[in-house]
Amino acid sequence: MASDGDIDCGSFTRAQLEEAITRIDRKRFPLNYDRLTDALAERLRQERFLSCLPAPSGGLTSHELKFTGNGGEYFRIWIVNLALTIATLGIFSAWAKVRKQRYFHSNTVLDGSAFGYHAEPLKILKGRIIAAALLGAYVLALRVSLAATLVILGLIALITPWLIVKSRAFVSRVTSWRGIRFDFREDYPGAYKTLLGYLLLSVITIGLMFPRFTRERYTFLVSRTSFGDEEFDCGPRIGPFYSTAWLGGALVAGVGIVAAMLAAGAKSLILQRGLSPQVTKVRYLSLPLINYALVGPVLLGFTKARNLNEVLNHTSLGPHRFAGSFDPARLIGIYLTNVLLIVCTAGAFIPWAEVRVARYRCSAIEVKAGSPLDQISATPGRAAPGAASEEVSSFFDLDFGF
Amino acid sequence: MDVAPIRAQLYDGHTAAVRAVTVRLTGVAEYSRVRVSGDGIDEAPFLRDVRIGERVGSTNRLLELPGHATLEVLDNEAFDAALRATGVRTAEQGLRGLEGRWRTALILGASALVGVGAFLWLGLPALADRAVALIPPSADTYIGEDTLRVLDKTTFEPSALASTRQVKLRAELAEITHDHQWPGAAPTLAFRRGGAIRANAIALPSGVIVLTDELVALSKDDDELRGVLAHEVGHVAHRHALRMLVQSSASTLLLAGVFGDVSGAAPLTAAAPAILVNAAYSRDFERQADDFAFAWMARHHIPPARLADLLERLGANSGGENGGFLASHPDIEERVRVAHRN
Repeated sequence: MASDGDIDCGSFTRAQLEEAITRIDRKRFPLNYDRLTDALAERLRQERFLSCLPAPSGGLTSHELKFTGNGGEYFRIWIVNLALTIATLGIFSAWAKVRKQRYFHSNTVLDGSAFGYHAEPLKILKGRIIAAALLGAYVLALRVSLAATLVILGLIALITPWLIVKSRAFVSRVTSWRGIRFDFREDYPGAYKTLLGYLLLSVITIGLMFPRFTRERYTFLVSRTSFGDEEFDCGPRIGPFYSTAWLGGALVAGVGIVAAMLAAGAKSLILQRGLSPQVTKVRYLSLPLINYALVGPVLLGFTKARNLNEVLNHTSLGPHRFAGSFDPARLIGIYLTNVLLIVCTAGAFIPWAEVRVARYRCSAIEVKAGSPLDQISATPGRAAPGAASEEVSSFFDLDFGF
Repeated sequence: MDVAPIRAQLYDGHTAAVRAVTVRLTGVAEYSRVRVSGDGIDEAPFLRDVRIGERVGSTNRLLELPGHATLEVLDNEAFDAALRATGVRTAEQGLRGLEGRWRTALILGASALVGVGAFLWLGLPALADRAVALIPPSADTYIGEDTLRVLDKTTFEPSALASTRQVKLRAELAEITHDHQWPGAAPTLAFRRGGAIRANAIALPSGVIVLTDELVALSKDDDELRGVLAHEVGHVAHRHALRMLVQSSASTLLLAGVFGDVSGAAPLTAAAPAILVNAAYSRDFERQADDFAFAWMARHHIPPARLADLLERLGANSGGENGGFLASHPDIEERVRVAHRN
């Protein structure tokens, strides 16, 4: 028969403690009851304290991002979007954008919950009208006068950091996971320092500082982003950005030389055989082709894979960490075959191409939870700003996101 | 009216905790309520206060409840059936009908393709015509002068052509421009050494026609050069430079909007169709200018084949780079054929 005060609950789990407290006869064993409640309070204090500490490397729970969409399904959404956009003279494009983003967000699943996209098409439409007017003015100026083009380019450079911040704020605030929105701190001095200052520095140093600019840009964009009450922390090392830039340059030079040699070889073969002079178009085609179909995907695939790995592996959100396992060769392969298949199918492969990239991207990103993801907290209530900046940035291809 | 419970996950908006709940839609039309129950929750806001997220493809629908909570519906079909039963319609139902079937999607896509093709081929040139009519000739002059300044700095060198020859050719041009009514000033002639652009003639929007020394040297006699000048006057008369500016800007924007959104291939998918389409426009303008030249030559009893002779020599000189979908000019052989027909 147990007597009061002799309970030894040191080896109890939290659940056992809680169960014991509800079952115990409080009047018969007041001392045991006190011991149990003290032990539970202590256990809770420890857990709360532990969750504030950086997680020990062993105690991380790995969650993989999963992409559940497929090309055939997205093809039908894409082509209906396209047809309605054309039929409505572009007005539907705002709704089309939301449907596309919804498709990709909602098919990205983390720990059993899909991401959400909450932008309002009307806001996007307003933004698109502003962006189209600006882009139209820019394209016209480009062909009309050199002075006007230079003035407009200067203005664009000046407002780009502001635009990017506004655009990231929009994109973040319309993105959610488990009912919690992302957010982006509108740090304008920081934006001008990193996005304009380091860019100018890399121009002045003829590209020597460009890897530094890349690193600062990633760091800025990630570390001003927050999810719930917690801001992301991002501190990639500078070295890998330099080695990626050198290796990428060497790779592109190699690919360019090999491609040029192949093109020259093919041409001389054609001339030797005395084929029709029409075929000499090969020479005419080779330069833009090498640029668009070969160098672009190779350089983009290589640098993106390596830089994203470095950024992800040095990013954390409170106790949670991230890991990137992008394989440069795989990403280059995906980009190259996408280009090839898009050209061969006159564009019909585009939806499959996008799904392939999204699926690979998800498979290469891992969330290492330092505490149960359920414990992420948020203070709701921040409305998304207008979409004009986001649309202008994407029209002018300023999108620096993942 | 009651229907079977639908599985869903509730997120309260304050933590990332997941609560398994069931959802029931009760009542009809504007009196419908969303009853959320399970895991200690029992709430029933009006359906009209709930933001029903779009369902795209087979993804889960998100319902934003009043306050900060969100529901992720796990059983889409059951929820859609329940929604239909309440009589509430969502905007995307029609779209889902189109997207759901391969046949309707493909038919729509094919008609979109035909539509874009027809617009680029017929609609845009006609629209550009109207737009160009609205642009005052002073704009042409401004653009032309700017272009010549840039070309003078980057490409051209001063002409070494004898001044007597220049005067003679100016007189030839005056004879050609005489036949046409000009809203502003008639085209004028400028002589330059071509440099990188070699034997060539360019009609600037301002009505200035630049003739390179190399082209003059390549010509056998003045009849050939009169053909070239008539061709360039044709460009000016039709305001081709400005039309190209309007048409190619519009087509570039349009095609970038349609195809320019592909990860890893965006420059290619945005630029390649625009390059092809704009090259086709350029070839059309060349044909139009050729027609103008052939008609003028026929009226003045110069065989159009004389222009063709020069074109053939030009083609041999530049190494036969002509023809194909990327070329800015029609195939030399085609142009010669047309010339012989005139």
